Amino acid sequence: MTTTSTETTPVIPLPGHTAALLTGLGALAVTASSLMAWTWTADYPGDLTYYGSPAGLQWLALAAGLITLLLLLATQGVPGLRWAAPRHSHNAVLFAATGSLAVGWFSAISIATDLGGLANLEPGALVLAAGSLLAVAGALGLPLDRRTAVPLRILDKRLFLLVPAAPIAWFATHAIPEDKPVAPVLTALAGALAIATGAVLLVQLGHLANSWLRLGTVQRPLPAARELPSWAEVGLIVIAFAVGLFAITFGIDTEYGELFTGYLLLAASVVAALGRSGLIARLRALTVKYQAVTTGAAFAAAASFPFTQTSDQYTSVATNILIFATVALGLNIVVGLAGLLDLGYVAFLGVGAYSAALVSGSPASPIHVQFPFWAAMLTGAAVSMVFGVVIGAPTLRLRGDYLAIVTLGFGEIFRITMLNLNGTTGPKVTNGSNGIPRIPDLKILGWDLGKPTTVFGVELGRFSNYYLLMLLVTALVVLVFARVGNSRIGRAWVAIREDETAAEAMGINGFRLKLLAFALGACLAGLAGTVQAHVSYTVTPDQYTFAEALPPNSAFLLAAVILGGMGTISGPLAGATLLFLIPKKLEFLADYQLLAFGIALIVLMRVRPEGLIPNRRQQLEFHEAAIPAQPTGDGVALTKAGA
Amino acid sequence: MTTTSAPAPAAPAPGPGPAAPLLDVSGVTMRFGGLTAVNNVSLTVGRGEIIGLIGPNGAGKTTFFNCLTGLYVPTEGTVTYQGTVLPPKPHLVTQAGIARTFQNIRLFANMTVLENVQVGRHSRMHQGLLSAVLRGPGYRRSEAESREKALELLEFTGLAGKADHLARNLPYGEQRKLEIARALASDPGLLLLDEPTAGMNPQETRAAEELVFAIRDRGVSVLVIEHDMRFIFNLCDRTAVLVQGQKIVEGDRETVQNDERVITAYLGAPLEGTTPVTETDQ
Repeated sequence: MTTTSTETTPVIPLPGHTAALLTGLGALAVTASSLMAWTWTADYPGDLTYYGSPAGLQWLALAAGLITLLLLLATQGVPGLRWAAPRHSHNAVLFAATGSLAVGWFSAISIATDLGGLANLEPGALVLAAGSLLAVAGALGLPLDRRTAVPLRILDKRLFLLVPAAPIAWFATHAIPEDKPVAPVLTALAGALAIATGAVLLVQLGHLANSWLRLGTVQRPLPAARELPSWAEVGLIVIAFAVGLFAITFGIDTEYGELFTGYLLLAASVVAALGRSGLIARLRALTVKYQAVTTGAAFAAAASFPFTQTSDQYTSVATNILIFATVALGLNIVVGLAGLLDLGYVAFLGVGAYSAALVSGSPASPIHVQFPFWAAMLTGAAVSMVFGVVIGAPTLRLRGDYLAIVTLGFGEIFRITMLNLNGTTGPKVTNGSNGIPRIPDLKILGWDLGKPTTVFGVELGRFSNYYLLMLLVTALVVLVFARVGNSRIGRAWVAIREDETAAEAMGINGFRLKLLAFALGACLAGLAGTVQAHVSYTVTPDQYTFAEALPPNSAFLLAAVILGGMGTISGPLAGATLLFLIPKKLEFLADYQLLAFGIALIVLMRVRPEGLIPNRRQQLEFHEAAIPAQPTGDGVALTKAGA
Repeated sequence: MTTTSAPAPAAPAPGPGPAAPLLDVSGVTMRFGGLTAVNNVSLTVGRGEIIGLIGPNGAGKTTFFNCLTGLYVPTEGTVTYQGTVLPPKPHLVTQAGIARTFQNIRLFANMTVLENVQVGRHSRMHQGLLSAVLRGPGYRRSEAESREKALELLEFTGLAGKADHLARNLPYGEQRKLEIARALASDPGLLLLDEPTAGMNPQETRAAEELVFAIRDRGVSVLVIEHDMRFIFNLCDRTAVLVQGQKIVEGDRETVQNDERVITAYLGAPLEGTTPVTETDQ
């Protein structure tokens, strides 16, 4: 891992100010196109047929164009806008322009394919496509931060044998009559070959583009921010969270898959662009300075989400996201801090939910009691914790892979036990696969969460109420995680994760602390489960499986933790949000939904192995070369060998 | 002391007098199946002493160490620290007051230097889960205390400027120092160093020597395994030589250096005439 040398040169040399001019023109065209009609018929979702009134994807194009323009002007040093690009890197402009390109071409192609032909594109779409292309071409002419040399990587030559194989298989499927028994096999084979060929070509294309573009980062110190009065700095944090709330609300509220895909494309490139421009680093410095304000602002932003909604349609999604995210955060204690791979974690959510359901007063529950909510919550958390200890005590003597296998087994045991406690194969407790239905709505201090309530003149529906309740639970879990993670116990967990033998030699009772992590994680998941039981009216065993197409399940929980960033708070929250939304919004892909989801996961792990929001340690672990504060290259090599 | 093996642990139990040794190892034997790695080794470490343990590769030095620190339960024999028999669990041994470093550095690579030392403080703090969540005054006091102690130890080992670095990013010599600082954080009465100068250059070795003397001056006894003879003989009050699992000699510099069995063990027996001494000894 040697640090590569870098330079600041354009990819396409253009004379004088042409590059900036082209980019500007392109961005303007994209912006303007959002005010034009993209197609002639209202058949395409969102109705993009009006002049002067953007809708759906057109809003995304408007945002993309404006952001590109803003970053361009900022890097050109236009007074009053320079705050937007403190690092002064033109790569930011390129990323934003790429966002325009992605949104623009995705829209145009999706309109043409949905409606069946290029003829369905109105001038607006053509302006958009041309403008975004122009913007990217221009941005490639700007002085970009690049590595001086990137050797071209060629994939294993045998892989390219797929390229002729795929069309042969395709022809074969068409040559053979459909009633032959081999026909479906051939079709499947041709499909698999086509996908594999596509993957190989895409990866090779990526290598080609990489060696041509050679994009990199030139280490420039972030110039000191202008001194602002503290109220202004706090104001900036509030504005940033307001923008964040708006962006996330937009994502949750996307009504059709095309819009969500466009949104994801734009969001990814804008985040990358703002990262390059240095704006995110600025914001992070501010949030570190005003931690209490930041926490408050984040909570306020989350709490104000139901007030932006007019129906229960998306608050129910948001409530389920919160449940999923809270459980993921609990799992992060077990996996991220203590390093125990738990593949059956969803069982603890189930234990909490079943406990709450049994004492909820549901007519289907064999125990005819109705606990007040606080007692039900404590019961759920306590029962879950007991289960955590009971399962953990024998299994935590195992390490690594063995632990993963055993927890996977226990997760399934829970589900099957719940199925069998149905009165015929076992005592009648859970009604087997029918589950416990008709769980009544919660009443807290006379507030019936099932009925709409009016707060500040806004009517909040049932799911909004549960959303707010769940938000409190999430806040509690965040508090516990933050405080325990940064304490004697949390340090001991990380030490066990790093090297259990050394940790024991430091006086840490490894078994006891691992059991503590297991129990705490179980307890927090159980807490979330008690709310989940009431939100979803019914608890059934098949809600708590190892893997399924929809979250929450153990596999998705683990993915949320790893994808988001192990050991952090915001990581699993962000990871859970994405993992919940992507399958939900990609339903229009039908049969290809899981395939697309799998590809998205692979790409994400390839690009950011440390997770979306890595903790400092992990970032250092995966991108060692990029860290400036190191003694010498030799020292690192030596320590790596020695450690 | 070493001769009276059986009744010795029981006798000084109520209150170890000033003459009683800090660590008393009597007749420790460790067998792995048919292999006897450590054979009936007895050793005492007094207060404020620096004791060396040398021997060729594979002599059983590290196995002996692991018997002392609870990683292995000795097949025979007892290890007594301050008059009480040590429990066979590493964390309880540390709790009792024996800290160790490892032959191949085992730092918590992805924690910061300061956090590493604070982990070493674990057994001397008592804040549990609940107090960490509630963050009462007692918790904050103990946390501040641990931080202060850790910083003091970093100052002591010369790592004060690197508190916020990741342990993995330290150069090799400083990683060794950090391991020592981490071990000292548990306020041990006895520090076990397993080859502290392995891989160090002569200057670093001399600095390590100074560090061990400074540790002794803090009132901590030291038992050190080493290959570097000059290091051992400069440092130690007494040195024991372990060959093929057996202690063949123990004494000061002259005794060990002039002992023929030691020379044989390290350099091989003279070509002709003399019979190998170790064999007759057995």
